[in-house]
Amino acid sequence: MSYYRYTDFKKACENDRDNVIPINNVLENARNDFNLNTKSQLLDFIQNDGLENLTFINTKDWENNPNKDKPIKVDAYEFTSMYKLGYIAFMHNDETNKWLIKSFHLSSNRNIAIYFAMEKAGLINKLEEEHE
Amino acid sequence: MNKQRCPACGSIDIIEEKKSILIKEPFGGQDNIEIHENICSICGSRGDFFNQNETLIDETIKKLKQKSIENILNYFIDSKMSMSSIERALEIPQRTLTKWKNRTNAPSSAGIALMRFIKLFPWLLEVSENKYDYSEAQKIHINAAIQKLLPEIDFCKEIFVEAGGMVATSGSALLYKYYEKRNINNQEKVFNVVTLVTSTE
Repeated sequence: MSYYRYTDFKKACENDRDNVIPINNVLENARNDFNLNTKSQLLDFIQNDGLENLTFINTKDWENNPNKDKPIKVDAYEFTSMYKLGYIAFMHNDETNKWLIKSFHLSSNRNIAIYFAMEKAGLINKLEEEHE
Repeated sequence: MNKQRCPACGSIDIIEEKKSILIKEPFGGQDNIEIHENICSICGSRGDFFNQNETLIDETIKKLKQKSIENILNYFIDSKMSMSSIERALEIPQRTLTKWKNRTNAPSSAGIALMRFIKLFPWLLEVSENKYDYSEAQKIHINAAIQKLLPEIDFCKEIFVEAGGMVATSGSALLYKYYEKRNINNQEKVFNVVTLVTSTE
């Protein structure tokens, strides 16, 4: 079970944008992997339910947390978007009151996972039936 | 009081560096820009913590997109494709493309995407001319694919090992051929070419 409620994160992407910060390679990967060129475009995409077939993967402690007495949890999900399978990981620091998008990139679980997710969403059948 | 803190760990031990990034736009080229990068000395997190880069990146992308449209439209002109006929085929108002080219109006994102598709697949204009009829569109598409493939195939029979087959339905037939090319020393080579032919007549 996820540590955070995804809806809270999504709400922050919509209404509290100054407190959502993409860190490390997130913006670079969003640009290269998903054509999302800026922070605004990335947050628009998230708040507009762009992460489809969202599947929770795990919760881990943030490894680089300098304050080990106050662990910060990181939730990781996989998602699909059109023909791409993506991976997102985010966390919230209660002290700074910021949501941090820690990772956002293509998932290494490509191909079969996306097929199953699309099949589950009925997309495979839809595509096949469309021109029958 | 300076309240700039690392959003990840809360530390105030942040350094700022300049970093060069390359922004690319299809058909618009690329531009190297210098952005701010904040780095937390305590937790190692880095990024644009204080939203300093957004405007610069946005403006650079806009500039490259405009360049992309101008390059595409110049290509159409050089290829003797008249703008008015493209506008007619796509059912967009006359002089729209000229206004985009002259920067009188800025194209929407959808307009830019459309121009890029037409640049890559000019046969889409023929699809539009045929009122987006599905079977006509299929014919046009496959014909375009064949035209692209034909120059790649060496029809000199002696150097071919050939296999083929056909899949037919009541309304169409799909023929496929498989070739293993040989090199000049008559040794089998790694090239494999597949040809698709269809007819709905």
